[in-house]
Amino acid sequence: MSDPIPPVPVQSAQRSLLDRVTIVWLVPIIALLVALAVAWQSYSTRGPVIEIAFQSAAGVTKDETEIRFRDVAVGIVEDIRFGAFLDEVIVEVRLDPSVAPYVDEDAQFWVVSPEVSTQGVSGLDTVLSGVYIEGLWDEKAGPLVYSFTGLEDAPLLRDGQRGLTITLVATGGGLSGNTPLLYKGVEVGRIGPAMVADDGLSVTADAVIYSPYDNLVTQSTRFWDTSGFSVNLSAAGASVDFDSVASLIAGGVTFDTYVSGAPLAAQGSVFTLYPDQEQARASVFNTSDTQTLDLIAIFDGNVAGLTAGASVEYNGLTIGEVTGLNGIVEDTPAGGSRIRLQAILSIQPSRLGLEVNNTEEALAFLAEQVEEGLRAQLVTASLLTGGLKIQLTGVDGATEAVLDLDNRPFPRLPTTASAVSDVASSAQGTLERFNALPIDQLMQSAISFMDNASVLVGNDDTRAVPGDVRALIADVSAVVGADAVQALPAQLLVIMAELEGTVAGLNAILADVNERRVVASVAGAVESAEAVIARVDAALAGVPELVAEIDAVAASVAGLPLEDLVVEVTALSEQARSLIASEATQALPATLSAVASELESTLAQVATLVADLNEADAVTRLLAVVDEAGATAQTVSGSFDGLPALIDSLNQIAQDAQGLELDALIARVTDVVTSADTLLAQDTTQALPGELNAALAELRLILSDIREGGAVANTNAALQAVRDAADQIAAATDSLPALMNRANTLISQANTTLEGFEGTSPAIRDARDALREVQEAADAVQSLARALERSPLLR
Amino acid sequence: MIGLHALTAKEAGLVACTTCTRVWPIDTPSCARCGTTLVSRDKRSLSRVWAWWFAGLLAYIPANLYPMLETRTLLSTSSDTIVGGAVVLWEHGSYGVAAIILIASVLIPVAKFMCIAFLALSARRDTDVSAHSRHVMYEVVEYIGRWSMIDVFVVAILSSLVQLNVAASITPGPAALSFALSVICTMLSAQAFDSRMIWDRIDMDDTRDAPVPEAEA
Repeated sequence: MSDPIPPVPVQSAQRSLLDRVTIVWLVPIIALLVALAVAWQSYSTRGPVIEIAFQSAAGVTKDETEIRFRDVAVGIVEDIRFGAFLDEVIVEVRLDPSVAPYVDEDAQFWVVSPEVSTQGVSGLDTVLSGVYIEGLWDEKAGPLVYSFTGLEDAPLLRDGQRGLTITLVATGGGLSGNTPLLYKGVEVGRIGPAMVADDGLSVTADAVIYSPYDNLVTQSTRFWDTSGFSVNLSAAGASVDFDSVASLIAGGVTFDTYVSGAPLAAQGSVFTLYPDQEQARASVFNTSDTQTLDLIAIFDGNVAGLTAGASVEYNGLTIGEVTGLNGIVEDTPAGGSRIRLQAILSIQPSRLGLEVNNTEEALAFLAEQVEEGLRAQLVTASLLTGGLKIQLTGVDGATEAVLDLDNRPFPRLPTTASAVSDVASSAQGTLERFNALPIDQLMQSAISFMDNASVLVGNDDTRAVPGDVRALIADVSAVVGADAVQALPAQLLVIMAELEGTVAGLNAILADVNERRVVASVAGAVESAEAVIARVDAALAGVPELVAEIDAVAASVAGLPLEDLVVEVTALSEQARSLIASEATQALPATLSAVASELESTLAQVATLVADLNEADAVTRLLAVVDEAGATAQTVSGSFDGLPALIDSLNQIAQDAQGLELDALIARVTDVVTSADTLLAQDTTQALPGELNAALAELRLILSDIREGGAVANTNAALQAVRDAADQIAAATDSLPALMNRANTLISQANTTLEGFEGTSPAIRDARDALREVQEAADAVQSLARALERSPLLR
Repeated sequence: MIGLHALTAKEAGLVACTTCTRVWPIDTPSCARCGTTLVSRDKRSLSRVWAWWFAGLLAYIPANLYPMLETRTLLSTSSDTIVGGAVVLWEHGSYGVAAIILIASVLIPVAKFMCIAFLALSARRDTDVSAHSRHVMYEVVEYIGRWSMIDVFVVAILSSLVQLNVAASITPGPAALSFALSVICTMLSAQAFDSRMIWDRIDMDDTRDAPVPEAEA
């Protein structure tokens, strides 16, 4: 290791500073500068620290709890410590410099924590985020204050709300703090915590009414407690009153302004809180600013139920109350003396719309009204309690009276008869009158009447009537099964239309009745009831006489020769039945129908025949035949013209018969039935249908011949046959009016007979319907004759 | 002036390439093999060491003052500094984790600062510590420095994993950045140290009694 070593160049130890310092030194220098800049930045933008003293700092955490203004964090709690002597907690808050200028001496701070109360849940967000301190200050900058005292509760006006701050004073309790202030159910303000006043006699609480509702509060506004509910049983009836369920549970205060015109309440005004609305309202009128007008009214009779405090109403409007009641000794015109009731009425002219403080004007108004019939009247205020009130009401046709202005101590108002109804006594009187009725006699008479009736009905002949009549109806219905009878519904429709018209008239009458005031008031109803009862009473007094009359009627009915009548009617029914049941009568409609069809088919042939005739020379001859047929038809027509007149006269007879006395009617009915019997028993009547039938059959044969031999060459023979047929028909129809007359006579007599019964037995009703149907049948026959008359075949 | 058993390359008139370790004559400007500029002794080494050291120290201050993690859960927000977090963990009984955090984030960085400062100072001054020990120290410092980043990694992983919107979220605090900067600076500081300077004073160790010339590079 001893090799020669080359010389090593040794550099000077002294070098310039630039050589010694590397560029790397910029790094710590820049870091230092950045650190210094950051430190300066944070220091210079730091806001001031303020101290807020709280009674307790529940939930406030150092470095976490924020201070908020309108829910924006504007600071944070930096430290929490105790004040001197440990009597308070001092929270040091680092404020945001942007709001620091506004935190002046007006600033308020309170701790917001979650709260669950009957008013609802508030501060729910603080459950998660923890409590925070809410700050409130105005928008005007001021000198910074470093020390504050925190509020225990949130102030009533917060977050820039404006409103009217007042103080409520309650002497009777009921003022519960932290409740809403309602106006017509709407929360328009809040009441702060309640506290007992310094004098220990009342409870006070600050309250605020938010703008714009503060305009509702005037100096005459009344506040009352709406918490809980009140049950009131008074002359006006029972009432349960509570404001809302929320205020029922949590309590609440509402207010109203009963008197307009008072100036708006000033900030910090003190109001009395009344326990309920009644007292609040009453207090308005008890105050000196509404002058009352005292009047006296003197009443006769029993005034039990009228108490001091009863309302005085003018046409239903409460305008005052009774303030005093006392008796007054008064000399009677007869020379003695009597005690009458004197009521002092305290009336508020303002309720009448008169000027508040001008009693003269009110008196003048009342005097004028009295001259027009205004009177004081005792009326029932409540049917339940029998309470009374005084009504000032206009009485039509009242005796002349004036408002006695000279009466002392107060002007005297004339009175009129009381409208007091006592339901209990009226009902009792009615029952007594019912008790006195001769019910036993009535029952006795009714029983004897029923006995007589049952004797009559129990008669065998009477019982046989319905069976016979029903058989008659069955036969008649077979006859009237013809198409013509089907026209009945149309007639019924007309009758129904008339009935509808009648019903409409009845409806109009009922509507008219409905429009009338049947029951104007409860008192009126009671009066009506009384009147009705009286009338019932009077009516019941006449019942025995009525029973006696009914008895007499029944006896006379029993004495009638009804049995003979019944026998006759039975015989009549038999006769009518045999007539109608005869095969000829039954076959009549069928034959008529066949004839009609024959006529129709013949008509077609005749039409072709006539066409041929037009060409032939036979026209003149045909004209002669037609003239003849026309004459025949005239005859037939003339025979039918008498029918309506006949029916009219029959109707007249029926009406006359209805107007007859029962005895005479019965006798006449007997005659009629006998004659009808005789008529029906005649052979000619029996044979009539047979003749008609034969004529129709012949006609039918002729028509058949016409059809069968309907060649143009046989025209002359055919026309001859037609003329013969027309003659035959004319002969047949000649006998028709006679038949019709007889049938009509029979029907009208039977109708009269049956109307004489005037009963409601279904058999009789059926009989009447049957007779109507027989009439229909007669009409049908008549229309057939008319059709024959108009038939071109006969012309 | 020449220690027989501690002959340096410089003394031998040679210079070693720090990249490929080829030994060249001392005045060779650059390594012909790999092109690295050849410097026998980096004259500005200590200056750079101290510059990075100060930068690391500056960054280490906010790293301990500001919160490392900001943990937001549904109900609360908490931010913990490095030491504060370790204390909380310790109080909750997680002694192991707390110890790891304390060692990795406090003990090691602080020790590193002290070691680098000691090495830098000892390059100029006499010391009782042998050159070998100091070299071991240097090796350890350079090796262990990267592990200080473990705290930064934890923060990075947690921040990316725990992002549950409202329920819970973890965000890195300002200390995380500062701490990372601090670690980086100390690592650069350790790297800037020219370890060959440790050995330049061996002869002085051996000739402690003899007067020593001040000038040295």
